Amino acid sequence: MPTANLPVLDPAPRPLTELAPGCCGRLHDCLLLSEEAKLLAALGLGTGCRFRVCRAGDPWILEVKATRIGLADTVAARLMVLPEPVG
Amino acid sequence: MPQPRALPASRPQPRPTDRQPLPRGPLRIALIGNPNTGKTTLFNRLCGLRAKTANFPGTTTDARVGRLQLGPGEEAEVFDLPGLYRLSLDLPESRACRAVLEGEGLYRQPEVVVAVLDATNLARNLYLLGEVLASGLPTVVALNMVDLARRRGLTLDAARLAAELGCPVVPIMARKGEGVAELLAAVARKAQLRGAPTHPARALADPSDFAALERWAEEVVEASVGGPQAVGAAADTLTERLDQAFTHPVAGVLLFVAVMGVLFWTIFALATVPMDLIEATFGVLGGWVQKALPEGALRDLVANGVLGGIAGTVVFLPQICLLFFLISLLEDTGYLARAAFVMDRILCRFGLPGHAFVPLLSSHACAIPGILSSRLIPDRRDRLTTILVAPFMSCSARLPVYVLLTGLLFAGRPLLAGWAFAGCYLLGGAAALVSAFVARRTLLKGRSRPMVLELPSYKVPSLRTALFVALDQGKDFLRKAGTTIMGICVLMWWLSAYPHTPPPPQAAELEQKAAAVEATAPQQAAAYRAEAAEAVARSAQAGSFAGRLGRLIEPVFRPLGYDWQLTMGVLTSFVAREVFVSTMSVLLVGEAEADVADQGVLDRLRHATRQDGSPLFTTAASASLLVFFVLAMQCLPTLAVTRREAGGVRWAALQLGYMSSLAYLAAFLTYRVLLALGVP
Repeated sequence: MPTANLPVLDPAPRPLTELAPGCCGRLHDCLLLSEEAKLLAALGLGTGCRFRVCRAGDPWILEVKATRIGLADTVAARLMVLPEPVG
Repeated sequence: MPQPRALPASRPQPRPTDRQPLPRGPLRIALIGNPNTGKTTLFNRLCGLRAKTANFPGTTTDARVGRLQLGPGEEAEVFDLPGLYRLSLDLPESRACRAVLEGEGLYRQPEVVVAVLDATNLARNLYLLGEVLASGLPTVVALNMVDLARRRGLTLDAARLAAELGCPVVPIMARKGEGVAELLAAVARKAQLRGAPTHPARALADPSDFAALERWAEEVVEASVGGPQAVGAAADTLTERLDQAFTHPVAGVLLFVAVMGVLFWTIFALATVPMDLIEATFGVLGGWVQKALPEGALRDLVANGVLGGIAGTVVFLPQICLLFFLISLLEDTGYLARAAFVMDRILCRFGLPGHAFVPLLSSHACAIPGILSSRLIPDRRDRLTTILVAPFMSCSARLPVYVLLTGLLFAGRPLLAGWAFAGCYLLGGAAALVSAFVARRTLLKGRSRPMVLELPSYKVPSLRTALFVALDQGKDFLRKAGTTIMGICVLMWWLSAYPHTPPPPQAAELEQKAAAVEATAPQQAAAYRAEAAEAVARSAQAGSFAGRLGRLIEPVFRPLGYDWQLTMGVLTSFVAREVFVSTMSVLLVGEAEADVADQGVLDRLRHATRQDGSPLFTTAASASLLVFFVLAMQCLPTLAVTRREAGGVRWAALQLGYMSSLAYLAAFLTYRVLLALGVP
């Protein structure tokens, strides 16, 4: 269930699927097969990268700098992220 | 001049200085870049129509190869490599690009690499450029979409970027052709260093250290690009709204159905005109050959075999070209990437990827372009599954058969005939989905690769690019599939035309009767002559190798309710499904071109009999035939394309075997169940 923006003090990584549209975060870990993880990194979503959730649900749409990335729900569930404040 | 920023250290790479002296010949240029950077648009600007598609051996990954004039008396060969995000990924396009850049196998290493970067998304594009620079190949950067970057408030210092990268950077707008001349000049200058050792401006020690590559890219961007880069900056609300609409679980599907409906209506509506023109042209050519050549085997071979074979190939062209033209337009708008996600929700339950929707829908026009467009699918097992099930989709060639059989089944009940028609399409679609489900749990075990896709910016599509894609795909089809299709058509014509059988005694009697009443009743004489011609045509069909094969194989199809005439119709339709109609027309009506929508023709077919005098098209037999035609693989040209696209004859053999078995079983069950229910 998507939640509102969590305070940055909460250090626990959580699945991307818990974030709501408009939330920002950083990718903490990627529980995908190595080639899928490499592809995500090549698209700009590597560990530590900042992103914004444009759309929640299947597909998830993330904005990473100037790239918009669409992800199936099964992929989003395996991305562990750290929420951050917007801006 | 500021020193270029050093790249992280990497393992030693093969150096171009180790190359042999460069052979004479046109300069070899490779275009490389991320998807959606305008590489193909640039390629079309550079080479125009002087291009062809090359296939990487052992793959279905394509690259386009073209020629351009670099200077007076100096030609260059340009390789438009497939779009990729990184050279080091284990994906077909990455492996193919690595092979080209390293000059492996059959490839000669390019002498200059033109890296096409998207100016609106420089950081991400630099990951690939970093790997290219590390290879040591002479590189020129084409910084594309600078106009879009400016509109988004980005300021790019090309000179500073060139200094940072240690290679020329040329801002271009490929769509408008601006900057292309300057780019060619930079390439020519770089090429003049041919044979001389290259000195990369910085040492990229290990491009496999992605974290280091990322830091390097960020620092380069920081030094040379100004403007909004941060995540969370003011979002493009139009893009956001369009994305919400196109990926909505309900509205997205409805929009998709509408877009696909328009696409296929356009193909059906527009392709009919050139297809009819092609058939008419070849009909005229055939008539001219009949008059020009003396009667004999050569005339038959040229008029009916060769011309028939060419016509049978060329007639596919309008649908193929139109389909790829429209798909290219849709892809260019950015819509297709969103639609892929919409369909992925449905298709993934059956083991198919979202990308499969274009090939499957295209197969409703014709399976051949449908299978060709499966090249969009990145995963090999996903692609194979799509290729194997695509022919289940009811193609346009099945339409005349559906018209005939539903007309016979539901005479005078057009509403029921319409429902039966729609039922055929649903049955084909259901068979495709179920077969894909089974295939992904048996032969092609494994889950579909979950979708991860860059969503390109929405933009007005380029008609020029779409036209080039359509022409290229058409040429590719003619060159690769056309020869096989033509060979198959010639073979099937020969089987249907030989051996020549003498006219039956009945025909001679009718000719005598016609001669007897010629003077007094010319209309009656004409009717006798027409009847004689029908008898000759029927006898020729029945006595041909195809007809004899029909009698020989009849016991196989008897359990489905078919006699030798229907068996012959089924056999001859393996060259093309619609041949069933002309075979039945010749056998039962005496004319190959009988209009099966004509009530008079339908009545004659409905009253046709078997040798024992019982009706030929019983309800049970007609229903069995209909089911058979929905499910059977009866298109040898499609099998030829499957063999090529799937990478081996075993896949084509599997497709033929599986679909034929399923069609036989389903037709058998249909016939037997109807008989058991008391429906004759």
